[in-house]
Amino acid sequence: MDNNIKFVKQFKRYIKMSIRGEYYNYLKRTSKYDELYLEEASNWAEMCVTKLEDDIDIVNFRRKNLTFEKLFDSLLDKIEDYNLILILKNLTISEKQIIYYVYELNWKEKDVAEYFNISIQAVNKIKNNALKKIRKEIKIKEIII
Amino acid sequence: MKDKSLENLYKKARTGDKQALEKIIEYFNPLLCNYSIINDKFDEDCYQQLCVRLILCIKNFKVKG
Repeated sequence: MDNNIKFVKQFKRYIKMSIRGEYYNYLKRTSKYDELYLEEASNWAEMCVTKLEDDIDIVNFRRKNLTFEKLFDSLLDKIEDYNLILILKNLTISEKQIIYYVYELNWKEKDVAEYFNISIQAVNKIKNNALKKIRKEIKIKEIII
Repeated sequence: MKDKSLENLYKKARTGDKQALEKIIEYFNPLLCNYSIINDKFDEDCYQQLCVRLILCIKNFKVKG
């Protein structure tokens, strides 16, 4: 039985790593990699303009986002249920960030609010929205399966 | 599908059982779909590439230890 668990773990890990490698290779080959982050950067720029902020630092935003995506991938690697991974991946960046800091790093809402320079109510709102989305999607998937 | 049957399916797929191979692809389908969504759109080319990679993985995988 132990051997079986060991096999399943090794096999799943191997498949996950290979599929992710192939995914990044595909993005680089088809030059969709840059498009993906340019789009995020332009969204960020638009957001800055609407917020009337002076410092529009797209490069830093992109770098910060890249590292966060990696962090979030490490959370996704711990999840066995692929449907849940799919749901988590479809969350918005702010939802992902708050889910990661609150549930993976066990930060308090107050600390997260200070870190992102937003109010505690805003953190709770984003968090509850994300949880609602996840619950709804899981229900839909259960009905389909 | 339980994890226990995954090993059996893997062994069958290695010997050339097409049905077992299909079942393994079905099992990993959510993962493939997850990585095939690019810019909020389902990329069929990417999905195909990932399927090919999965089949190669099943061929090349060796149990360590």
